[in-house]
Order: sequence, then structure tokens, then C-alpha cells
Amino acid sequence: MKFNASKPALMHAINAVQKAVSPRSPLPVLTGILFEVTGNRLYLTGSDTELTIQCNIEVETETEGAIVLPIRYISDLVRSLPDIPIQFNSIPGSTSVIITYGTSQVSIHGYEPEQYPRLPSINRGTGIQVPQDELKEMLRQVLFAVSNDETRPVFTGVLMQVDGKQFRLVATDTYRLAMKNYQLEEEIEQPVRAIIPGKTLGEVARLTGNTEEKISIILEENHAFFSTADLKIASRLIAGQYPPYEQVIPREFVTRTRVTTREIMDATERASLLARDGYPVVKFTLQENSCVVSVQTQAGWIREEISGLVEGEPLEIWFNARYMSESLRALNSDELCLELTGPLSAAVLRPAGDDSYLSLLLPAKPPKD
Amino acid sequence: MKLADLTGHEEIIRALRRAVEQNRASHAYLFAGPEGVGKTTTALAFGAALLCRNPEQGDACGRCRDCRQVAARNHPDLHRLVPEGASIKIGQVREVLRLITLSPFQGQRQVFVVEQSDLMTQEAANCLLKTLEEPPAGTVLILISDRPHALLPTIISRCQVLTFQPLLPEQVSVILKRVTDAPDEEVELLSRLSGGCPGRAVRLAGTEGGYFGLRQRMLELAAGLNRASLAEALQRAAAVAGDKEDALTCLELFLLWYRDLLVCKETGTPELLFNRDLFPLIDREARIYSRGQLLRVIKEIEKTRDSLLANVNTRLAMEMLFMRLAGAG
Ligand SMILES: [Zn+2]
Repeated sequence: MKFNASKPALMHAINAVQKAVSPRSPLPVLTGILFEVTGNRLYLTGSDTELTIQCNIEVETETEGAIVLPIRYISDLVRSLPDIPIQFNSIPGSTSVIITYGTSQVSIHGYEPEQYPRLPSINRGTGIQVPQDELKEMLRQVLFAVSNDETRPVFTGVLMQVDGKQFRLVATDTYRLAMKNYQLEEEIEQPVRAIIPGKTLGEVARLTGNTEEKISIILEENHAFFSTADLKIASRLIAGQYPPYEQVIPREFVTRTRVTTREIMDATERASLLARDGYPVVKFTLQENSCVVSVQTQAGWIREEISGLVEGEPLEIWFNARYMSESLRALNSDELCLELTGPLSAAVLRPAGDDSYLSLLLPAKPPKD
Repeated sequence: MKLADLTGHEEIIRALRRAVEQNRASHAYLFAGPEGVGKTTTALAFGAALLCRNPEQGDACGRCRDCRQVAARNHPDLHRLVPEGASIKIGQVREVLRLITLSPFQGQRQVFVVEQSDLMTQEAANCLLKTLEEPPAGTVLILISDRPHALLPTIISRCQVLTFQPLLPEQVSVILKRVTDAPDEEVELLSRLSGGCPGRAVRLAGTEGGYFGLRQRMLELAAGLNRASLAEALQRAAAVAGDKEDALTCLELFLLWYRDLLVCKETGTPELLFNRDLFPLIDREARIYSRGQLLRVIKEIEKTRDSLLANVNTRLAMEMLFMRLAGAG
């Protein structure tokens, strides 16, 4: 393997992949980055097996080849090199590389590329195309509802479902649930669903750009792949059945209101400041033409009245303040439709005039005095 | 390492190869048997056979990418769990559970080898139990233990138990010749005194100065111990109490030594001795003790070894032993 590259291009690729590399991996080869030169492209791959990130950049190739270089040396080393053309040269069959910059040289020992885990090649999976900025926003809107409880693995993932022209993401930790739909341009023949770890989707959200350029998503038996022109992210899937979430989404309501999202959000956050330590619940009172957000504790009391259209019966309901704030922040709409089914049953939050998104929130028990 | 290249344990290896060939591997195994007998080596070879993409008659091909990754400990679907400090903790088992719920990375299977599985905390064992009830398809868990009685019965009942028996001295010597460059007379001696456990023999051969050097150091610790003062006994204990492995090796050699004294006392001939080459010295030392004293000493050493394996504080256990041995005369 022999190629010439610029420092900024190398740094860009190393930064993109190193998030997936763990210098303390029990697999020696995974403490490194795989360098592979094919044609005039250099493919850099980092992996902790759960998440694999591959980034490719243009290089000036003399000979193709591959090597794995330990992250703890290669990353800091490239960062510290002067901004002049850099040449990588490894003799075939050896596992070290000589890096030449100007009249100086450095050599690093690595591992055989054959030892590097090989992702199954993409063959028969279902592929869809989504603009990158859309996917990024969709992920933001559901990831907050993913569970951190490792003892129930399916809830630590996001359900990704494609059916006909509908692309859907669902996340729930059983206290709240978020669901986002996206209408595809092309229709998919076979419906597919997969549970993808929330952790790796967080990285997908981080790495996708604020651009309308498309990202392609392919769901295979054991992996989900996300790829753009210069980036490929692979995530292992969580095995198991996603719970039947659709039946927990209520269809009938006793009370509904439409209010300004910002006002409810600010009121909730202020009210939570007075909430009891260890039980941060805030009371919502829906009455004729207003929603009152209030808290009364030993610390004092707060009451904010937000005007809005209220239909149905008057109702008092308590919510966990943090959960409510997170749901409101994920809404991405100036106006909120809050639909209630009773003081002790699930509430549904929707962006007004947009039925592609909803989140569901279970109320909290009223605090005991 | 391929299953076919292993020495001994023929019946177990036949069963494992049949399981791979017929694609009928159990989801959980317990490999039980003395320490150093070859359980982990067999588990890793079995893992290779399960992960190999071109298995041959139920065994790894030894050439494909998967086989080479297993050999270099780089296979992404072969996971090893070893105690962190004195035990296997719940956090470690949770990590295994998380990996189990993920699909395999490279192939169709994930293999987990849990070494010293009897050192799981109560919490960790209960957590693992849940997985053993309903493991996802393609998961093979291999628990390894030289103290299977310390495992929860509910865990054992969910595993296919394979019990490894000590090898013959000739088999140990074949292994020693293959993996060490110990001189012939040392190989001969070690294969007799390893109790049929090649792992122990290899460890003894690998110590500084080889087995003979090690034995010399240990004999200096044991010599005249029954007449030593308490301060002297504690000083001698300190030489081997710093590290659990060192302490276990020391106990191993002490056991052989006192057994030799006992056998020599009873037979008066070198034939049945482990350390046959030291017959004159053994004969002399044997006269210092009564038969009852030697039996008590051996029992003390065995007790100390068991408590070290059950993770009692090494320094404390070794100091107690040396103090008792000092009083034995
Ligand atoms: Zn193979």
C-alpha cells in the first residue's frame, strides 16, 4: 500500500471514524483503524463491532493495499504533522507503515488487515433514500424516548419500519413513546422492520449533515447500513420482538387543547424549579379557555395561566417535568395539540396541523402532601 | 487450535465435533474439571469450529479468515469473560446480555466463553440465569469451572455438562514438548507431577529458571519450616504471598513435596516419588516428621489451596498456613 494524502483530508476521515474505536477493546485489531486503498480512494474504518464507521477520501494512489494502524498513535501523530503532503507506504506482507512528510519519516507497527472484522456485504436488504437533514431531525424527535435500561434490550433501540411508501421510527421507554412517519418517494415491495440500538443512531444523527443530499438506509438481516457518498455507518441490530406499540396509542380523548409550545415549555420549566426534590411533578389544569401550570410545595407556589382553546371536560393531571420538557422540545412546532384521556392515563402530544409525529406521555401520580 | 489437534479428552471432542457437524450445538455448556486440564483450550477450539466458515468434519479448517481471527483473539463474535479482580461482576454479565441481544457481527453465531464461571457474584449468576432460560438462536455459552459445586444448581441444570478428566502423564508430556522448550528430564518430571493437568505443567515449566529453579526456591521455603520461629515463618510466607498465582504454584509444589515425604516414609523407596531425583534429601526430611504430622500438613495445604481458589485474601491465607506449618514439628 502506497499513497499520498493531505493532512486535512486525513484528519477529517480519522475524526469521522474514531468515535467507533475503543483503545481498550479486548480485540487487539479493533484498537486500530483499518486503512484500505482501492483506486484513488482511501477507506478508513473504525469499529467497536456494535457501531462501524467508514469514511473515504480521495488520495493519490501508487499501490493499493491495506493495513490496520493503532488509533493511539495514528490519530495524534497525523494531528501533529505539518500541513504538507503526507505519504503512507507499507511493504506488502509486512504489518508496519512508513509515513513520510517532507524529509522526515516515522514508522508505526500495526496489524494484518485480514484480522479486521468484515461486515457482511450488502446484498438483498431493503434500501430507502431520505434527505440527510430530514433523517437527522427524525432521529432527534424520537431518540429522547429511548430507554437506558440494559435489562430490557428492545427498549434501548429504535424501531425502524418501512411499509409501502411509509418510513417510520418509534422509540419508547414505556413511560413515553415517540413516533415519526416520513413519506418516501419510492414504494418498497416487502415491508421490513428492525430494532437499531439508540446509541448507534445517536452517532448517525451526529454524522449526517444539514443538507438535502440523500442518505441511503439499508436494512439487512443482522445490520442496518446508512450511507452517503463518503460515509458508511453500520449498526448491529437488536434481536427480539418490538412490543405492539400501536395499541397503546389512544384514539379517543376526553379533553384536548391547543396552546403555544413555547409558553407551555417555559411555564413547565419555571414550575419545576419549585417542585419537590426527588419527585419533580408539575400540575396541569385544563379549564375553559386556558391551561394552568402550577406547583405548590413547602418551598412555595407558582401558577401560570396559558390561554388556549380547550375542548371537552375540565381536567387536572400531573406530569414529570423533565419528561414533559423533553417531549415538548422534540415536537418541532410552534403550536402544540395536547390530548388527554383522563387524569391517570396517557396523554398525546402532536404538532398542530402535522400528523406525521406524535409522542405519548404517561401522567405522574399526584404528589402526597 | 483445532479440536483434532488437542491431546486427550477424546470422548468430549468427538461429541463436540458431532454437535458442530450436525448443527446441533447446545445453547449452553458447562466444562467442568480440574484447573489446567484443558477446558479453556477446548472451549476456544470448539468456538473456532462453531465460527469457521468452512468447517471440516465438525472441526475448524484452521485456514479461513474466521479461524485466523480466532487464533489471534480478534474474532468479533467470540467473547471471553474473565473475573475482574476477585469475581465476575453483574456489570460484566449485563454486557454479555447486551451482546447476546445483538445480532452476530460476521456470521450466524456468537460464542461466549465464561472463564472461572464459579466466581460470578450471586447477582451476576442470577442475571445470567435469565439468559440461559431463553437464549436467542445462534448463541453458544460455554461456562468453565474447576469448582462446579460453587455454581447455582439452577445454572448447572440448564447446561450440557462435560466433565474433563485428568490426562495420562504421556499425554501431558506430548503437550509439554509441543508448547514449551523445557529439557527432556524436566518434561518427564512435570508430566508426572502435574496431576494430569497440562496447563499446570506448562505454567511450572514457564517460571523463571524452569521447574528445577522453582522447586529449589520452594524447597528452601519448606526446609526446616517445622522448626522455624513465627517471625521466620511469616518472613517466608511473604516471599510467595504477594501474588495469588505465585501462592498457588507454591502450594502445588508443597503438596507434591509433602506427599513425597509421606510416600517415602511408608515405602522407603524412590519408585513412587514425584521428585524421584531428590530421593536422598526426601529420605532424610521424611524422618523428621511422623506420619500423622505429614497427613495434617497435607490437609492444611489443601485447605489453603481451596480457600485461595474461593478468593480468600492471599496474604492472610498464606501467613496462616506458614504459621501452622511452623508449629507442625
Ligand atoms: Zn476456518
